[in-house]
Amino acid sequence: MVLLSVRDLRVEFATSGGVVTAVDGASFDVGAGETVALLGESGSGKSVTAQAILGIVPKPAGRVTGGSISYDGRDLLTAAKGLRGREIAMVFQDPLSSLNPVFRVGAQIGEMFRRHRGASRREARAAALDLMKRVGIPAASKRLDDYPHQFSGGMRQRVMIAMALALSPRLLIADEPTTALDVTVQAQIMDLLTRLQAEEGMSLVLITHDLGVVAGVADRVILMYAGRVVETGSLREVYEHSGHPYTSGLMASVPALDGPRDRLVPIQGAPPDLLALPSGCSFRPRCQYADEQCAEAEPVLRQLPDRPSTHQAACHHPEGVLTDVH
Amino acid sequence: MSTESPPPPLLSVRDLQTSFPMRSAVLRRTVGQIQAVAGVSFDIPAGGTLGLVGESGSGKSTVARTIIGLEEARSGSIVFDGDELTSLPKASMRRVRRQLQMIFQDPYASLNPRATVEQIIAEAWQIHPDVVPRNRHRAEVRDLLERVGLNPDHAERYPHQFSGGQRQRIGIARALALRPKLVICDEAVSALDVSVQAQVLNLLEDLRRDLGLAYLFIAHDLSVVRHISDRVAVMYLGRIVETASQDELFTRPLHPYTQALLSAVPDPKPWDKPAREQIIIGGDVPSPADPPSGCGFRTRCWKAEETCAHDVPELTTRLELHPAACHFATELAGAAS
Amino acid sequence: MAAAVRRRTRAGSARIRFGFAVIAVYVVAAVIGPWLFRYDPVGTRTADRLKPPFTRLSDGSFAIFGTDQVGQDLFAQMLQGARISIAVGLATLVLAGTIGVTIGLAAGYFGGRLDGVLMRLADIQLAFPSILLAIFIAALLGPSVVNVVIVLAVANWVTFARVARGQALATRRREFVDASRTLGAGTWRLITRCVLPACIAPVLVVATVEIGHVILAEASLSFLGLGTPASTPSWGVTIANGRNYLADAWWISTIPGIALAFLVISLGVLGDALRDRYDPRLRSL
Repeated sequence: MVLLSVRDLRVEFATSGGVVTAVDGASFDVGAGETVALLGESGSGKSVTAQAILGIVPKPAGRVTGGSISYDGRDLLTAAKGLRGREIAMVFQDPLSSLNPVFRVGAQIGEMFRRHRGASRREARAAALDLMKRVGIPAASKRLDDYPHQFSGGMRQRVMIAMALALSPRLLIADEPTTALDVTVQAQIMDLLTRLQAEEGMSLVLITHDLGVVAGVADRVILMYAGRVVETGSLREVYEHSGHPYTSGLMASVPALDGPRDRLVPIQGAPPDLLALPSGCSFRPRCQYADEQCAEAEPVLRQLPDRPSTHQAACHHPEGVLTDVH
Repeated sequence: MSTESPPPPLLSVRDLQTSFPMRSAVLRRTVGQIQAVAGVSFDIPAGGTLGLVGESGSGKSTVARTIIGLEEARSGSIVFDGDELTSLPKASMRRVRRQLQMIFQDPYASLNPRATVEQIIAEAWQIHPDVVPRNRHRAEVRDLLERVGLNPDHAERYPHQFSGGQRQRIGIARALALRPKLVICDEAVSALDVSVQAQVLNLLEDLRRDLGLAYLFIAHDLSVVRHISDRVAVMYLGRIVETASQDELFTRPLHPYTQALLSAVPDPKPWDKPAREQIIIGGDVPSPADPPSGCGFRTRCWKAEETCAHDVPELTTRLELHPAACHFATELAGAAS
Repeated sequence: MAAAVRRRTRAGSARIRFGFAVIAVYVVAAVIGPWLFRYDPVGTRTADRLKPPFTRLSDGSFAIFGTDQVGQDLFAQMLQGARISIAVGLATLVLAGTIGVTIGLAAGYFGGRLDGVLMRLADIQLAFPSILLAIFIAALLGPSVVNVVIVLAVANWVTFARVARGQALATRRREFVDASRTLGAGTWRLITRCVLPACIAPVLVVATVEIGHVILAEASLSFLGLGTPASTPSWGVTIANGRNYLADAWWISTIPGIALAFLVISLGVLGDALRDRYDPRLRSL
């Protein structure tokens, strides 16, 4: 069952250099109980997509100018403000700036119950304590009355997760939840997120630039480049049989933790400048397969030859990519 | 291995300690010392690359900043190319500094936003006029830009006109301007997108080969460190807990912290390998302001015993193994193999 | 990501244009006005005393703003006054700015005990009423244009010192400054090449706001007889002169007062707009 459906989403930002299209016709679905990775580098539009889903595109610079986002059959762009925070929750990259520094952590978590559920002060406190235990904060009863700055980065992220889970959301969007954390703590948080996802049966959208972090976790990946979805499919399918030169380029750019230390094969050129995108395929200037067709027509997502129907890439020459890489 | 005595290392650090004053919140009085680096020793041969890995609070960046002279060492010795840096007079320090340069983490913060690329790179020669004469500045800047893979015609541009990866190349060109023997890369590729990070790593490898550079490569990303280093040292709470050749360390880690660290690195293709048992260690790195007694890692270690709370394990060779600062290194080696 | 593409929209363009236009008119009037309309500070013409605006005088000239108690043309006098007010304002800013920025840079860059001493000095300065200080200095040195500048500079350096110190604190630990350090740059070079340039924009913004205050303060001092001497017709002197004639010659005090208010308001508007555009962090100042 599809829980979240994004269709032809377009988000524009007014900048001093002109209007940029941060998200340019992105479409994807997230099923109930599914874990999806939204992958991309800077300028890919992955975070803006999340902002659009949550209705927090920064105004007045940013504006959703097209497409639709429906959640459980309801249109998120026009109505259903109440869904956000209640059924859809978000965890941000930087937990320190997402928490209010002047309130105690227990009170901030409890506030969710007081505002949305009309809980009493005592009930909210008890519920907050429960949540803090569930997200693995040691000595939770003592830490209820601490302030955010008294927590370490990993513990703060646990507090953020506790707040997000407070109202038992059906969809949790985590935007680079472990990017600011050390690798040992990152492992803890990913472990926690997957455990909670399984317990709650919620859908989880993991937004990240890190191909590795989501590998053992996500069912499906949606790879974005310059505001467009360039490849989508089951994670293992996309990682092992990349059909878009950008995907295969990313895979070749990451040094391995074992095996021979071969020279890396980076993607040429610089990340896309959204103010000066080329005609046709945005990846064209960095692509070894690019030809005239790529300059003329913008490729659309389509099924790859001899691959499962769910695996799609937006490339005019996927055959070349598939044979060269594999 | 040859029987002749090897040439002296280019950089030799012995028992380096760096500490910061800890001040009280209200009166700003010094109430104690935070030992950011608590006795670190290592060598880097000419043309070699030592990878220094650790998480935040491990003190790895403070090691770099102390060697380059941005922080003062409390004790210990830093011998670079035959000169003892900790006791060098200021005038000689300027001469030595030329040989010792640094590439910074943040390609946005590390370039003066008000200077052109040419001014940024040529600043080194204004400070050391004997390296490149004035009338050669322009030509040398163009050469350097070309060497780091930038368009030499862009010398008049300002940093904000470049992408992150290009800015990091400018930072590399600046570090090369004084023709150093050792370049310290402090998280030099961490802030870059994956696709650009690979470009910069390749550039660093090319420069090492062409110019005979040695690197002290500091990073938290283990796969990047493995890729570029000859030797690797792992830091935790101001100390090196394990050091070995790149190959040794990644295939046979001895210290429990190294094992946990390696296990925590997410694998982009987990299905390719036999299911490995992931070690997830609990808790956080303790504050360097209040480190645990004995072994710094004991509060998160599954092997910790009574003795770990009393004795600081020394970074020594046990049996035939590479140096690891753990009381149970031999036992862990047996379990690993 | 959004941060990469979102940039500040240009704030306050209309306000900036308005402010610059008004100030340009004043500056042009102050520079070339006294050439066109001669003002003789010792001249008296009793026949033309206290004439209202738009009067033709005995020598056939036309007094658009009227005349004062000794028959001087008020318009010519105000043009001369504009020169003095603006000159005093600029001189004060240069002096206060130089003192303030030097002290602020030293305090912020070197920190520690020096910072403590200098900033306590600033606190004392702020706690001491500047009008009292002005009376004290005027009594000690006697009223003169130079002394007014000194008084006002002493009263105003603290703002500059605070801004410069804040910038120095923020800049000295920036990575690009560390990068210069690792190249072997000395303290002088670091301060002049890295820290000082970072101060220029905020200091200019503060200066625009401050110049209005300074011009007003100069008028106040002159009004009280502690500023420019009576022979130098700054606006404050002219307003003070008209005080005794308010009942039957309102224009002597009122017209310079309006001119002064309009200039100060324009400077305030411009300063605020520049601050919003270039340095929103300074809003508290």
